[in-house]
Amino acid sequence: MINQPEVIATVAALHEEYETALVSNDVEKLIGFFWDSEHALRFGVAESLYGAKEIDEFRKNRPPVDLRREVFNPTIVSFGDDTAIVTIEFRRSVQGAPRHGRQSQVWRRFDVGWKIVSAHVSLVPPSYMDSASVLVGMPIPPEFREGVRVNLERMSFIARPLLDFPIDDSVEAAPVFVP
Amino acid sequence: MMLTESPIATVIGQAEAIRKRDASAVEITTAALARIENGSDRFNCFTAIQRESALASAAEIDRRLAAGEDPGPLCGVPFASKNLFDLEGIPTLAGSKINAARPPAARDATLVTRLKNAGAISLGALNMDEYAYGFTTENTHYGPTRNPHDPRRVAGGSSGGSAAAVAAGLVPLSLGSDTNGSIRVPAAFCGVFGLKPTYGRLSRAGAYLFCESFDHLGPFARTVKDLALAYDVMQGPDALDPVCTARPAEFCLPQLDRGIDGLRIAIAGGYFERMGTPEVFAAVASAASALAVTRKISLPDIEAARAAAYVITACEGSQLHFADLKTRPQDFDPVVVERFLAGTLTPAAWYLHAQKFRTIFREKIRKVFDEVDVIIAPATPCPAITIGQPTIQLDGVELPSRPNIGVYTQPLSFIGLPIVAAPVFQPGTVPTGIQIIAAPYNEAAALRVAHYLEAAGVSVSHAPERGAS
Repeated sequence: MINQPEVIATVAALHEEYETALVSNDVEKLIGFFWDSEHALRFGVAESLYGAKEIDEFRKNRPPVDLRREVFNPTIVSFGDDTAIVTIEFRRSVQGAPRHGRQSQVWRRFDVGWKIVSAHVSLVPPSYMDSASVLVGMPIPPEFREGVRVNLERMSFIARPLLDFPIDDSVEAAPVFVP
Repeated sequence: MMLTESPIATVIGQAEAIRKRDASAVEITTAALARIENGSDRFNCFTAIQRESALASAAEIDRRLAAGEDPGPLCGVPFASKNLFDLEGIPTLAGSKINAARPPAARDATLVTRLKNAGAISLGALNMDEYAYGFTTENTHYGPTRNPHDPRRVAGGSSGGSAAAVAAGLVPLSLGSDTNGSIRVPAAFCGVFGLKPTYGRLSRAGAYLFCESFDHLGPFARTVKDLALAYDVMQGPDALDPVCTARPAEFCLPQLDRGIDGLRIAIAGGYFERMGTPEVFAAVASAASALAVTRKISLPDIEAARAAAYVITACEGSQLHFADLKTRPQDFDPVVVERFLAGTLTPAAWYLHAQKFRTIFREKIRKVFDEVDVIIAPATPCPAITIGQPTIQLDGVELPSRPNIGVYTQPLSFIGLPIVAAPVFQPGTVPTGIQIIAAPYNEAAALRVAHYLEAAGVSVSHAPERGAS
């Protein structure tokens, strides 16, 4: 039987607790949420952690920066009274750049309670606009984002005949500075 | 006195009248200021008026004439400048709100000084697109400049105030700038003559630049003689502008009467025969017919030239404002800021590819000028669009108007060719114009062709009809 209301409510509350522990980097609590087993698994954005030991090590050494995130589109699907899958999307800032991410967790109820047995976090690759705006140190106000995106697209379209034009290595840009 | 009242006074006519003491410089200046201040500027051309200094300069001209001195060929003639020219005592806005906080300019731009030294009277500053990044002069901070031939339409841009002030008869002479078409587009839309000289021919010192690789300054007038005279007095080297040529001046006014004898003239084919509306091709056809030209010439790689100009403009233009774009993007004109923000993200590979292509394109066009002296092309793809019109229909495709009004002008300023924008239209209709394009430093050839067309009645800067204005 899927999505029993009491199962969903329990897992939702636990997930909320997990989220709070995550953004406040409450390492002990975070370790406690994961299944204490060599079969536990966590694929982070950059790290592939196999077994509770590797997960614990990662938690203890993680620098507590850029942890705050805004969660949206949360979903929970439960199977029977002992298994659930929780997914979220989130926005967080990574070194000043706005990023869009996704996370899935498989939860399982044991005698000691609900634990995360497998998790995967990823970041959607940033657009050229977002990467370049960070590189040049110029944030784009939200109200201009769409217009800037359209203008970059237009420039890219207009530039095509230029970029298709072959230029020999021997050609120099026309100098205008006459010393 | 007719001369002080007539809105169709010419530069040469007014200078002559003042020199002959038929009218005083003070009378002419007072009348011009009255026209601007008493509601005749309903097209929103002026953003600043130099009443006191203009009247003082006019009185000085009258004093010198009374003392038997020659104040110069522009003796007492009023003029005005796009508000990116430094005018002593006024902050140089360049169409922006941000620059309004700058201190007043300490001295005039070089070209303003040269016009004044020739006896002209500076009346003030004229409206433009913010930081010259536009072809319509729909400025959100200072309001749109309206087309004197039909106030529902734009004046063109970015030197819209300069073209409209001359078309409306507020001044017989104005100064503007042209990076991708900003003199030629408003000249065509407002039915006046404009000259974009060879890149580096006229000093840019004291002008607030937009894109240093292709910024040009030049005059607007209602007759070719006036245009040539203004150009002639502004020529000459200037140590203050690193781009300004050291070549000696070549005066054009004395050459106008040579006509078109010996000039090899062709019509631009290919690219310049596509994308336009019937009116603009009709203008080219009537010029061709008056010049008895049937030869057609295809300019190579125009699409790539237009693309390269677009990329370089986006990149250089936005770099100039980088500090403000980082810290106060909300203070820019909303119709401009997104293009500037996008411009800061232009890949360096594109920019350098575009700059190298400029070398190649210059060589190819130089070869074209081995075969012809003057090329005729349309100035804009359509007559003036209406204010607020977001798109134009070209060859059945709906395109955003602001970046596409310059399709015919942009590839040519890219390599700095001298071009006269000449009006071709019937009185009482919405103007259109043509480009008369010559080889580098051959402004005289383009002006001779313009003068010939003017004398033939094909290219005439008709005054707006009363109903329109």
